[in-house]
Amino acid sequence: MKKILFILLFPIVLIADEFQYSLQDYNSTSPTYGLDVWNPQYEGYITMHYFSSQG
Amino acid sequence: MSNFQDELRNDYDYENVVIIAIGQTNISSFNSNFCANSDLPLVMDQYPSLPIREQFSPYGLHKQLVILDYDGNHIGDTFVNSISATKSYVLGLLEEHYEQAVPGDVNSDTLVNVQDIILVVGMILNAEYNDSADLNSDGIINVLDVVQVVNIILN
Repeated sequence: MKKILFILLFPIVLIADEFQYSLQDYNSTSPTYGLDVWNPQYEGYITMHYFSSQG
Repeated sequence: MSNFQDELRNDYDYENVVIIAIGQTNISSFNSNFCANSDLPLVMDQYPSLPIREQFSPYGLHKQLVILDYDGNHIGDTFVNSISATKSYVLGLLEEHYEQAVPGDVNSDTLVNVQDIILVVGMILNAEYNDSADLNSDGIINVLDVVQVVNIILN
């Protein structure tokens, strides 16, 4: 029974972690400056990730 | 984007929502411009491998906003070409997915119990900060927040 549960739940755990990262906040005017975001600082948040590749 | 986050929190009461900017280590102008005009968190994608963009693929293109739920699951994405269109899109998503936070529920399990106290104490000891643990909204987590969680449990 435990094996079946593991097989069923393992892919769900993998999917949930697909986008997770934990990196230092470099914005000195941010309240979480120097801390790791989005994990653990914004755990339990809906997170929006804004990408920019131009100056 | 900073104004948009303030609007979400202050005008729509979406407190547990954060916009994180993802720059690139090889583009300092974006990072300096962003930091000068914003209080949003900024993380740096390491050039040339760009591991965050690789992780978010096929999302993570220039000017793309990727929205994830509490468990890190993709719930939407849009290109920020028009602020009003982006606002409208994000507000629709939040209306569908946002769960109003329970005061004192630091671990977001919808219950307030001793586990939340342990988390708040842990944050005090490790000098960490989390909005959900800052019960009195004074910008710091200390014994006053622990007392408030205890009071919520007792009442």
